[in-house]
Amino acid sequence: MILSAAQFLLGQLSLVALGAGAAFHPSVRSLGFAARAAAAAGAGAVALTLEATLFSIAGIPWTIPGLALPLLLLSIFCASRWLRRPAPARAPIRLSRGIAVGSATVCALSLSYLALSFTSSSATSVDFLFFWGVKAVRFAEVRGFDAGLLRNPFFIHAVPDYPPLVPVVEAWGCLAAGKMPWRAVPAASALWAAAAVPLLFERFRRRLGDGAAAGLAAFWTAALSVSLAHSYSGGNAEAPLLFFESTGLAWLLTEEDPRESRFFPSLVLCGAALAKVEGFVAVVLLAAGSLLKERGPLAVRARRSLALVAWPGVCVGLWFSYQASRSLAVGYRPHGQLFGLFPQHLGRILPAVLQNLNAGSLWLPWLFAILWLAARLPAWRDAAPALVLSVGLLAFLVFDYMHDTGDPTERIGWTAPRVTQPALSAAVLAAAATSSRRKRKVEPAVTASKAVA
Amino acid sequence: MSEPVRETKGGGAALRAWIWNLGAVAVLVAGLHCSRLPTLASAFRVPATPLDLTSGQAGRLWAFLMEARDAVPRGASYTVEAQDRDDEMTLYMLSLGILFEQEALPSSYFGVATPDSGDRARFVLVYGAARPRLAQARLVRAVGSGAIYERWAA
Repeated sequence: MILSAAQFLLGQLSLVALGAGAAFHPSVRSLGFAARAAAAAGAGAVALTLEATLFSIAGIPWTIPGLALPLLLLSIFCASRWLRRPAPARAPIRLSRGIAVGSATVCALSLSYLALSFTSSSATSVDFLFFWGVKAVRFAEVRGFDAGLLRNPFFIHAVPDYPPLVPVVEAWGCLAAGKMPWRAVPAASALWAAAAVPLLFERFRRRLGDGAAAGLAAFWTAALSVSLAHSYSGGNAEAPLLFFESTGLAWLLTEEDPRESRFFPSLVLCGAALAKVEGFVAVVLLAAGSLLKERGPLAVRARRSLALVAWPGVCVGLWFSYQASRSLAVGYRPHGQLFGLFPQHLGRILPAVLQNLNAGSLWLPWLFAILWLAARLPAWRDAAPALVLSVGLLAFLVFDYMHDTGDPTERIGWTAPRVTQPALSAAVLAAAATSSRRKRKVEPAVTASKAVA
Repeated sequence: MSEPVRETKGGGAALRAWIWNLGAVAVLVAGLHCSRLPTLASAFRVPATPLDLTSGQAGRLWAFLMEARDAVPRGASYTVEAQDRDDEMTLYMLSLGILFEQEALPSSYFGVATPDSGDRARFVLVYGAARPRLAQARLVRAVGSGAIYERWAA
């Protein structure tokens, strides 16, 4: 068991190598080593999923060398091209000892708590055992998507239309381990939470300063680690979704120049759209928020916002192409008719959702974020992508629950603690974005290194 | 255009850093207070199933399937039965990942009996007491919480 668990975890860590090229993009190269490794892991997961989907469409069986070699070659090619382009220098981190030790301690304790919750089986997602892991082990067994399984009428509980990132990434781990180490896989979910932390810290340094960015990273880590454990998110798609959405959002919130490359947010938003159905909803909300945040001609803002949606749209389109190629039902299965709503349930839905926003920590992260936002309300536009994501996602969930013919309270109890986590993350990041102290300046943007000098 | 401000000590930046950190400590303390981990020692114990501390009943169903899986040959069809329909559905869903080399034919699906499917299965994994109609089937293995039968055995 220990050997297969170690092999599985090594397989997950190898995503860094599969997406290493992304760490050399000029916009990513100015980040620290840990943040670049995290960016590479995200890129690796996205690239592996797209490649695995293409292989399944073409009927090419998945093997470790067959999947890894093209991605490694692509990474080398991208790295060699991007290394020729200049990148802003990274400013050295300057933190007071007290803040550094305090933030690092909170992060370490929070992530340790999350990892122990997952390894001890106290936060395992039953959905992992009912379908995420089932798909992974079956896909690894047949070396590709199993169309027969996906069209089996006795497999509809496994929502066969869900996008494929998590089953692919877990199947990759199964190929590396030779079997599914069921008890160890939930622990890998903690890696996604841990990977988000250096990216959030590095991006918010430019907006908050090093000390407050470290404090924000500690707060985010504590709030979301506790929430992931509380919501039984071990082994399911919540942790990767949170990684993709939060890091993409952090990037958009901390842009300093309207011409800044959106390579990284586009990449991770592809990951969000490939992780869960509501991931694409989040992409659309983030793009709308970006439109509100940016200044300048509407046409330019609209083009940049639409570009955020375009690549995730292509990725989801590829998944739908696989469905079409195997005569499966194409698209996502709706929860009833779009406007076939039962507004009479609203009186039950709203209190139930509110109750399940406690995030395992007595609503404290929400209260903290809301109080901070209330104090900085005039600066709301700086945080528009986060505010639109947070409010929009909660509204979308309420809209979804209103489709239930019966009392949705029980379903809210199962799902809301999990699916509201990106809204919580966005609320925390919104508070951070409005709390920054920025000097207005009329000159063109400068690189991070010049700004610090 | 805006320029970032980077401060390491004094003033509002340090204050904000401490506010975030104190907030983080408060959240972590509240989270530990509400934690589902029964004891600190339980956090370091290797669980017998992935569900030990999540759902005791589901953990028992998982353990039953792990004991039963070797009794069903690769490629053979099987079904799962339990006195409780919810348990039967849970067993079926869990079995798809554990007995992934075999063919699953549910006896019920979301509580609705599916005899056209389940009755075609060669092996029957029974959680709890067996139903009388299995009297003619061969007992392949008895495990703590149930048994595995083979129908139409030669």
